[in-house]
Amino acid sequence: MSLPIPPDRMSRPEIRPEEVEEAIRRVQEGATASYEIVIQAYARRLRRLIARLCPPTMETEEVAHLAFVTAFREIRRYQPGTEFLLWLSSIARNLILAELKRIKRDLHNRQNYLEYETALGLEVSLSDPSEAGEARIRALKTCTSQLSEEHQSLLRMRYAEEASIRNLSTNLGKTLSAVKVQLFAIRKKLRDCVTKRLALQKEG
Amino acid sequence: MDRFDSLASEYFDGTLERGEAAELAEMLRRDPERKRLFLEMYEQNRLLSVDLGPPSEVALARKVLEEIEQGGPAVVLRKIEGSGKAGAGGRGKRVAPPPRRGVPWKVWVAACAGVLVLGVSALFLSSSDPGTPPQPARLEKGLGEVTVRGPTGPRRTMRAGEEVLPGQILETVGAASSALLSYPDRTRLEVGGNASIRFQPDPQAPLGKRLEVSQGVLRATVAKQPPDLPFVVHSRWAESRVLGTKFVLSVDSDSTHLAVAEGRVRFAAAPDAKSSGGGPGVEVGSGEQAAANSGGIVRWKQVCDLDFSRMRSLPPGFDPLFCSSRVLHTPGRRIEPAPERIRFENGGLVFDPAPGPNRDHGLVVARWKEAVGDDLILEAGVAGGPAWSLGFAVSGDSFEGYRVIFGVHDPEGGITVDTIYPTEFIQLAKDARPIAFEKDHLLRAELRGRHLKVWVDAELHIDTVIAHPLPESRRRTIALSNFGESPVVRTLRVWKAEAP
Repeated sequence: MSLPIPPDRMSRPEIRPEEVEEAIRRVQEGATASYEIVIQAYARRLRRLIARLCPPTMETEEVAHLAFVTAFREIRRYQPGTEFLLWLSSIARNLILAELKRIKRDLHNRQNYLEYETALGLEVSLSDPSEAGEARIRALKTCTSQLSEEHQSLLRMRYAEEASIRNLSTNLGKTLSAVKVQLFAIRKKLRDCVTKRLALQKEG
Repeated sequence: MDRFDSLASEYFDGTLERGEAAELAEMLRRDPERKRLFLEMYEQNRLLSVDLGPPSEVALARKVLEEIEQGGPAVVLRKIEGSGKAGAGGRGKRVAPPPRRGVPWKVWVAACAGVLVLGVSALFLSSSDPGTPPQPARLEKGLGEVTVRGPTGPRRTMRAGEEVLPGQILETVGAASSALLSYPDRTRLEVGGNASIRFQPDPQAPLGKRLEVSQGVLRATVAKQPPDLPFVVHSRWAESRVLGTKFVLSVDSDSTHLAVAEGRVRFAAAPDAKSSGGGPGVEVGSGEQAAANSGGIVRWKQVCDLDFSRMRSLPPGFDPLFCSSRVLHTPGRRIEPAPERIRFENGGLVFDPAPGPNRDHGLVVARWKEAVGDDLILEAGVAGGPAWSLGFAVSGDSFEGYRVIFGVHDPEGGITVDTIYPTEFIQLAKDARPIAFEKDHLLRAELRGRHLKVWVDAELHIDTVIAHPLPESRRRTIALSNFGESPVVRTLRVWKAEAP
């Protein structure tokens, strides 16, 4: 059973593709304010794409911000009717790629070399065209919705409310290690579920 | 849950310590399968933050448009390239703030991406404009009670998103309160420890970011500043000038303490300091520390920076020693080498004072071989776990010097300062506040002359003057010791004073 969605998370009426294209056209003609429609239409999808590949030195939100600003500056290059999200995500990918290269070059990162190792792994993912990005995102959404109410609630507290492990422990009346173990179990369950769904899709 | 699962879990919980991070990285490097699993979890973790986090489309649109409308495309590009005084203003949240090194990533990335995607026009790579006053810092996040007030006005609660205007004083009330602020150029400030900070205190001062820290702890990651407009922090007895670095400044009732993580800071006596009337001060580099008080400025030079989590044996700079409790407090005290009493397990150094077949219980000591003098700082990171105790020795080893014992039995879980020279235990100071053993802690002691200060996690626990005589012939060194349950000691850093 899934929890009721809080009012502030209820989805807005969908912005239709033709509305977005029209907004882009107006922005190309100089109507900056119309860019808001473009951002709202693509922000969440872009953030998901960025989140998957974002190294620990970057924040998803910041890359999205920078990608939108960069796209605005170059909006006249965009060919109406082609995939704007694709164009936007290629800008974001290049931003991430540049940062991954910086991490690799920067020998200081070898001192914090968890960051370095993570960046190396992400670079491989970024350069692998067969990587099932969209499918993975969809699978994770499905798997999350299939979790028990208690687990969904815990995830929401941790990720939506950014509660620390200590706060979770206090609020739930559990020991620190109990909270950690439970979160670990949920993450593992999600990962196993996603892996299984992707494998099934591949077979099917 | 095996060790890898446990470390990965700590990472995603935001509680992974530096030593553990190194251990986890090593596992990833050696085992491609674990690396694959870790990356899947990493990706999943990020996606959950986006999917479950609050919707940010509207806020994002507002920020992007704000930036665009501030100056049109040319200004936007200059911001992207990072050469404009007002940098891009993305202000997202970070689960575990990673260190920023060298050129801020956004500047670097934007510059590279500009080349990769769009090409860069040299037209926009103009230098900063020193005539523009700095844009105000914005409160990103406040924990506990964060207030702001004008020089004379009433104090009011500050909310996230608000800016601190020139002349205003930001305060974090109580030890549990803290604030995270950022400037548009990505300079970030973390403020805590009952802090009181005035922003842009002097309207007549040269343009550039300026703070006046009356008390508390300021942790700053300063983006590269124009050469002629350093970031300047005024504090008790000191003035710190920064062009781009990471540092922590702690200000208490009688001193200012500076620790530089990256880059260099010019640390000088405050212009109005009676002792010196200002002066050129000292350059404090990466890994170094400095302090200012009524006696002037001292630079702390690093003696060692040890990550025990990556070691398998005691470094050669130490002597492992043992003294049986049967003779410890007698004139016949006998100290013997005991390498088998110090082990490396559970991600750090562990003492073993316990009795066993054919062996006594006693005091186990890891003593630094070289003399480091009387003025020094000793800092150790310990892992959370069952109740433990740990001794620091300063101005001599654990048998002849002053000892700071953390996690004593009386007061339970508290801290004492003592010596066991010549034979008996003599208590010199104590603090009854119990240490929460289940948490990781950074333990710190600073001896300057006879003035001893002791902190746990940046909170001052003991501030005392000690005068008990010690033998003149002693080697003035440092040591760690344990007599009961050992903590896992992950890191040890020591600095000694160096006169400017």
